[in-house]
Parts: sequence; structure tokens; C-alpha cells
Amino acid sequence: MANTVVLEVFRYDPETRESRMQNFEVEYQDDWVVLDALNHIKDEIDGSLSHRWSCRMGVCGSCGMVVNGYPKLTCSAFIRDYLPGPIRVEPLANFEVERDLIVDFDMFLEKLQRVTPWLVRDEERPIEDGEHIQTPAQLAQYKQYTLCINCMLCYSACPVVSHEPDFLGPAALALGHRYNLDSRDQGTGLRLDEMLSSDGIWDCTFVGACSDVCPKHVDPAGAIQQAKVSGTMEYFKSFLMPAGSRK
Amino acid sequence: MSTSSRRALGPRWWLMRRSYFLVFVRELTAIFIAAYLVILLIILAKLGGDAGSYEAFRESLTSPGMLVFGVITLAFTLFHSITFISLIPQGMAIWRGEERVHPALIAGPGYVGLVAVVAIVLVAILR
Repeated sequence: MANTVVLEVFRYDPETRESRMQNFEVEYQDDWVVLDALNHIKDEIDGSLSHRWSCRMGVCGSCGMVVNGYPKLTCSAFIRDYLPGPIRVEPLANFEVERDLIVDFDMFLEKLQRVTPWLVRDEERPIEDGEHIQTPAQLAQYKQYTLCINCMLCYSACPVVSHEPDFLGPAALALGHRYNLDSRDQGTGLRLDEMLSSDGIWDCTFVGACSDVCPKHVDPAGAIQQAKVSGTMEYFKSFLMPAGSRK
Repeated sequence: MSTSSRRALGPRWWLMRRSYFLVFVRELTAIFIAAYLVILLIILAKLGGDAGSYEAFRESLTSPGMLVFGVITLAFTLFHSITFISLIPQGMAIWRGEERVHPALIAGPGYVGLVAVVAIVLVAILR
């Protein structure tokens, strides 16, 4: 006898702008994840179901959805952990839904641009001068924050993003902090202008849900609190050394 | 049927999961702590006035309602202090070479300090 489970799937039609939940009874195998069940529905039951996925191994960050109320990568959400069901699958919260389970990431990409997420140098060194030397200890300071896969689970879990849509949000601020910690970077001042703005780190109330749901243990909540400490020190340094406190 | 495609967390977001609820309670504790500080300020103001006024106010603090308020505020203050100290390591990255100092070594002194302050206050009150 085949194992079956019911998936309650969110459906949204952008043409009529109407949403509803639709139930699908799925025959599953023991090693299936929720993404396998969604692919089965699309291939065998209802080809109109729209969802985003790619690598199936927790690397690409494409398949983030809300499973039974929790933001999860559906490629690592095993069906056996949700039995006997039903399993409720919804698109990530706090983003505009394009269709069914697909959300529009433009909101995040606009915010990400604001924190200048790349190495900034005052003057580029000639190639013949060699690379910028970095010790393992300097690398360790920011390496954790390079592991972000932009899956957006943190934005879906954050109540501040939900209630203050202009808040730059966990992933963007953690990436800003990542570059501020990088010994090769000279753009902290540029970044802090955005990170200390009214949409920046001070909006965070340290709920910590972003770190709870992060599949890569990036700990954006910790990064934001550390950025608050750095930002406060920079603020006071700007009074003591107004000529050049920021690197 | 919804007409907006953005699905925000509703006004009851703080009831959706335990971690949200605990954060909400921690924020709520600030109201009780602030109210207790107002009472302390009133006591200081009364001390600067006539003795009768101070004694009358002190007597009002022994009412059952104020005792309940005091117990709740004490519990909330401890909850706020303990959860705040537990979060310090997340916001304070201290490095020893390539290794980050263990969170217990950062939070530990906080708890020791909390116990020390409570002990000093208890000794001062009870002796």
C-alpha cells in the first residue's frame, strides 16, 4: 500500500489577483522532501502549479517557501518530518507573490544595492603590486557572513520586515557587515551611511527569527547587533576624530 | 479572496511561535520596569517633602495590589535580565586568533554580575 500525504498548496493567479488553498493527495517515497512532492504535483497532477527550484541540495537558495508556518528550503524539508500531514505550503511571507509559490525578490535586490555589497578601495592597486594579503584570523572574522545563499527565509521570518517594509532587512545588513569586517575593504563609511539610516540596523528589535530559520547558520541577527556596536563606536569617534574616523 | 499579493505577518504575529512570544514578553517587561522606576522617583520626591506624605505613600505600597505588582515586576526584571545576558554573545564577537571566544565565557560574567548585584541588594535590605 502506497504512502500518501495531503499537501495544502497556496495558489495565486496574478491575472485575477485571487488566492486560495488547493489540496493535493500525493503518493510519496520515504526519502522525499517537500520539493519532490511539489515536482510530482506539477509533473503528474496539475501542470499549472508554479514554484521555483534549482539545485535540490540546499545551495542555490531558490526553493524557499513557508512549510507549516515556518520558512524552509523545501529541498531539505523531509515529508517524514511532517507526517501524518497535511503539509501546508505557502510562498515566502513579506514578498509580493508573482504566481502560486513564486515570489518577487526585487525588494531584496534593491535593498542589497544600498549596502554596497562589494569590496571598496580608495585607490585600486596595480596588478603588479600583487594581491591584498589577508591572514586566516582576518578571514575568520567575516567568513560566516559569506555563506549567505540569498534564500530570503530570513526576510520571511522577520516581523520587522513585515511591519516596516522599508527596513533593509537581515540578509542585506549581514552582507553589509561582512564587507565592513573585511580587512581589504575601505568602504565602511559609505556603507554605514545606509546601515545607520532610519531604515537600517536600529529598526532591528533583535527578535532573532532570521537566525533561527537560516539554513546556513549565517546568524544575521548577530551581525546586526555587532553592526550596532560598530556603528555606535563610529558615531562617537566622529566627534573625537572628525577628520577620518571611518576607514 | 485577497487582492494584495504581499503576505505580511498579521497583527497576531507574536502568537505564531514560541520565540516570537518570548520576545514580545521581553519587550512587555520594559513597561513594568519603567512603572517601577516611576514609583522609585515618586519615593525620592516624597523623601524631599514632609514626613507625613512619605509615610502615607510608603503605606500605600503595602497594599495587596502593589505587592502583586512588585512580585510581577521582580519576575519580569529577572526574565529580562537573564534573556538579555544570554543574547550578549551573539552581539559581541570576541576573537582569539582564528577562534571565536565561546559564548559561555562572554555571558558567564554577566550572570555572575547579576547574582552579585542581587546578593548585595538583598544583604543591604535584610540585615
